Amino acid sequence: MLLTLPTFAPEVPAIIEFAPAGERHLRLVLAMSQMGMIADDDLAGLRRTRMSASAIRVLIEKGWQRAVGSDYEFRLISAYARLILPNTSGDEEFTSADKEPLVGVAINADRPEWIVVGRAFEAIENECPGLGRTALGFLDQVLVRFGCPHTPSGMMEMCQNIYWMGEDNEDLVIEEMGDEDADVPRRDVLFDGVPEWAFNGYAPELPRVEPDDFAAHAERLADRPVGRLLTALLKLHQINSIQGVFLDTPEEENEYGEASYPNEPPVVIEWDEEGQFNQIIDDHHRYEDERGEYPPWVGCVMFRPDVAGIQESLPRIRHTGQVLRALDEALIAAKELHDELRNTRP
Amino acid sequence: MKRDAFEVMIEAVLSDMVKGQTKPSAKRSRGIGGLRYGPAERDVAGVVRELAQAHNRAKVIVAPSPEFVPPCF
Repeated sequence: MLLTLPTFAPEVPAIIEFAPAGERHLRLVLAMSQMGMIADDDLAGLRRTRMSASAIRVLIEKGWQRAVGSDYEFRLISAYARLILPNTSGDEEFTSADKEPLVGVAINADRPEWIVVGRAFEAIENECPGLGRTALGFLDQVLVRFGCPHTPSGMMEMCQNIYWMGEDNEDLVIEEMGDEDADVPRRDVLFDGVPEWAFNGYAPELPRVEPDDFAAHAERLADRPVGRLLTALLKLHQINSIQGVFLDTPEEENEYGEASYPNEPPVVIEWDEEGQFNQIIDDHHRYEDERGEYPPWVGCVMFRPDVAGIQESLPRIRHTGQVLRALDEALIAAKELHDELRNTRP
Repeated sequence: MKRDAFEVMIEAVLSDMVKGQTKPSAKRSRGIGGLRYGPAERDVAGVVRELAQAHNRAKVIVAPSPEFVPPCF
């Protein structure tokens, strides 16, 4: 007796399981393929008869890593970017006004790195009065995107806010309390050993080099020990000065209806001793924690998962990474110069 | 897999997904099990509901058993 087997169709129907991946994943991976963000090699390993959600996610991950990964590789700061792809179609936060699903790229910072840099900026200031102050300002202008900068001048702002009723020192608070010995943190103690130009950003009597003149000074001092740091700071200032490209800071309100800002410093910059600003930082974070919740990210761009959406957002995502890389390089140069000067002239 | 084939496949899945979202839901013209409900069935259902609610309202107050009553009583 002959056993007859059923004949298989020449094209076995594809098995496609996309349960944990939603419409956004599919739209995004399609657009990425159309733009060439997915390499032929990535697709070569896929089987036409079987496709899973995890395979789609791997394609997306590889494509984005290739496109922007190198912009977000840092040696010192703790910032990072993440692609947000909500699974549910009804996520209001990631839906446009005309009900189109959106995806997002957001930046955040993890636990900050603590560094000491005082000698480096004192060396700059010694070369030209006012230059060190301007150089520190370049760091503040980037770090302010992550909340109050954890730099000497940022510490001063924290003190004004949490201790001194907005004033530059404790005098008004002591006068209000009518007690010379009142338990108010004193400026001389908190900033002991830190030159005023380094922490008092608003003192008009102190010299300051105009940012536009910084490039000329960097060129003049290129062969000096501070040359590498000045070059890194100039690059940081130039790239950070491009307006409207860095990912948007969220505009949110806390439970009291007050503006809610991020408070995620990617680095803490101290002057001559590790832990010298600990009291200010602790009190600042306690105060901020009591104000309510923080925004979910430091910066974010949301876009439609199609070719136009990616083309519009990619330059902003890359620019943001490049600003943060320039910050990372400048901070490394500052830390290394400080360590070098401390070792040669203890 | 070739790029063209991959894109065609994803487009097809997306197209099915969109169709699935916009497909109008069929109206049920007949009751469960093919029954048609009329005024008589509604009256019966009303009586059953009333009985069920009356049962909930007329709760019996349970007297405590003697061994749970404190000695002062």
